[in-house]
Amino acid sequence: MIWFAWRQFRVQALIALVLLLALGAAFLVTGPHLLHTYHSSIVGCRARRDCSAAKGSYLSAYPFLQNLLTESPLLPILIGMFWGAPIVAREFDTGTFRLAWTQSVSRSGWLGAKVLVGGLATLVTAGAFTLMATWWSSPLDRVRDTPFSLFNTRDIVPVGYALFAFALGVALGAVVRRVIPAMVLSIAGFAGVSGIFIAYIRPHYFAPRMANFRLGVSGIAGPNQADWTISSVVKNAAGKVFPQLSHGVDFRPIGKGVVALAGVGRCPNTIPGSLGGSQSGPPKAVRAALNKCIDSFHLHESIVYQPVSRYWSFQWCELASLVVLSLILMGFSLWWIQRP
Amino acid sequence: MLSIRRGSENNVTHALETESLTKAYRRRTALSECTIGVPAGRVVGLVGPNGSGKSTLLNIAAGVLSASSGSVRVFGEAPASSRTQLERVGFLAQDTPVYSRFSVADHLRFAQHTNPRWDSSVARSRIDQLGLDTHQRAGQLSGGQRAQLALTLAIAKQPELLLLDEPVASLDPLARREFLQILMETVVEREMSVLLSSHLVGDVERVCDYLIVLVASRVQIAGDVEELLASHHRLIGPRSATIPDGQVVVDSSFTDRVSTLLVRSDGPLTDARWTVESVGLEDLVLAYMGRGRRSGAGSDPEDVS
Amino acid sequence: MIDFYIDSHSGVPPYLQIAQQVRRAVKLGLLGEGDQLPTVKEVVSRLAINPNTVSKAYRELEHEGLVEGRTGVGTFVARSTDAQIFTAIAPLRHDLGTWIENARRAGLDDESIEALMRECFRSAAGAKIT
Repeated sequence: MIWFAWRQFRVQALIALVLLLALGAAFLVTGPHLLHTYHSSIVGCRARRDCSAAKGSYLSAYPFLQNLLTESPLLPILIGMFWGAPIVAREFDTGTFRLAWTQSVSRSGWLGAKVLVGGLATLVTAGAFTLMATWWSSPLDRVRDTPFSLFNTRDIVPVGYALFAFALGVALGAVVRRVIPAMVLSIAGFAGVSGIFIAYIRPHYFAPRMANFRLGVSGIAGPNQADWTISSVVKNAAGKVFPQLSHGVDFRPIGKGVVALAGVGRCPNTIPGSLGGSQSGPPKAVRAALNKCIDSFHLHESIVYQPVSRYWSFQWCELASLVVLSLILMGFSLWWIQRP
Repeated sequence: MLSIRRGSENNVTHALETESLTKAYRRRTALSECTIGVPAGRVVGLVGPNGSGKSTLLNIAAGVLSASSGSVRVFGEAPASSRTQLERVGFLAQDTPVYSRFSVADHLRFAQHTNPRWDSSVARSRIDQLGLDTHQRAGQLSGGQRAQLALTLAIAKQPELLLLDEPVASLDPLARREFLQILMETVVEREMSVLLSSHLVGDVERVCDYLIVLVASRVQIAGDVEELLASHHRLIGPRSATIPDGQVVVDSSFTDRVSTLLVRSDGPLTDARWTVESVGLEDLVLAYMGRGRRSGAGSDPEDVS
Repeated sequence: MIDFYIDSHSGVPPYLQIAQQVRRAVKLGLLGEGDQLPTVKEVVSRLAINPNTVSKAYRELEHEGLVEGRTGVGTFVARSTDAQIFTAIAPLRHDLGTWIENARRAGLDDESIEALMRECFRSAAGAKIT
């Protein structure tokens, strides 16, 4: 059966190979330029004092490639739709299951061979794609320095998502028995499950850390930018939560020297100057007075986060969970088609 | 269920047996309380109008469709219950599904890999005899060629029971004749049991020696073709004459002067007013099909066994 | 070797047709003693009919003594037409052909000719020649 499963998969494999080569070429052509620009405009930006501008323009390079290929779940969705869903569903659409299931093979053997071929191809394709995408994006990611924001599409987790999408497609195709509905449900199912992983499962692989930070006028002092902030609330010493302040501190002048901290109350001290100012913000004295105002309310920021040092542990945990989920789905499919 | 049985038939092994087999969908019932026995070593014709449940019965027997209730046994086991069981049954589904992107050679190789009893010399010689180009894609074959390919695949795995779902319905007369020639040749060579469904009674007359009539998801009559023909007669008599004893009317037509009855004779005819004629198979089947349509899902045909 | 055919509209069961064709061939001298009949497989693969039909026809002929089956070899004609009858057939055929021509020339159509022949045959059957 393996020979036949491969024979049925040949065209899809060829398409994948062509697309991978095309992508590889695109990455190969544009990658060195990215690296070069990194060295020329980012490395020395601190000395030139134009870091934010340089970083901003750097991060907007090659928007098409970035959005489509390295930051979206396009690969697993396509795999689920075109490699997973048709495996069983297409045989029902064309009626060939009446030919395949009356030969002297067990149905699990028949499906098992197809799932093996498709599954291996998924691992190889997703692996190759992720390798290329991660390599190509590495200078951009260094500038961004927020690895958790791209968790789904870097390093090893995408292989897990691709395998999961494949297994989900197979299972849906086996149950629904029609290709197009199975494809549509694959997209919805994949979106749903990834959403659940990101919101409810991922934060709990390891117990998150908590920290309190002083709230300052320049905004959230916060932990390392690279860490993953799961939640942050502004509280006062008594524990009262000020949800408005999570977005930033907002001062409003209500009289000469009198300023109110929006959502909290009037500053007990006087502010020696206007809040607006030059391009770099209010003058130092004003800023000191505003900080004193904040302190008077005993405000601090309570943050729940995962440190960036745990990034790889998280990658392995999520990959393992996705692989287990995929195996469960495949087992389900093998069991489901036994029913007449 | 009405069946005409030889006295000895209770000792005959059955390739396929069903008991009160029913398949019900949400909006319609495809098979109702179907109880039949397909004797081994015969060529059995399953006739009935379109939509009468023939396809459903064959698909259930082949193990690709599940029944709602009742039992079905192929060589004493449930269909598709094990690989050895699958080896013993060949199935040719309606519209001969094939992998249209794959060549004839690919199909043969596929069947060879999946059937331990595959006889590749028979398959190859059959393909050569048909003049099929082994590299041609199955999707590009004509209807007749596809049917022959599917038949080759079903036969070369050396089954003991061959199930054919309207195999020649969409074929031109020449392709139909060629298909049946090869089928009959194989029956001689191999002593296979065959169950084939058709709505063309002419073909059934030529090749079948046992008949099952299925109308509106119910079995109307089943039996040996010879015995059916021997036990049914056409009676022609005056309109006023009563139906003679021992004759069960299957179909009747009347003018003001003459009654014409198609009867099953359970006993000798002693009433001299009636002229007796023999009945051809096609008329017999049509009579039962008409009766089946009239009774619909309501009355149960009587059980003579 | 004889070539069978089946007339599906004749109302005669196929096995009888085959038996009749064999008898006719033997009577007309087309098949002689020792000639082999086509095997069941050969007939079936030409005519696409049920093998039992052929077997049944051959069995009947065997029962009559007209043919004999030799296991593993085939079915063979057991006796041929009386040699005397055989030699008489050609002139008889010729006479009949002439008679039919005369009838046609007199204006009879095919149906009337056949009806006339049958009637004569039936009445003559009463008066047998010993």
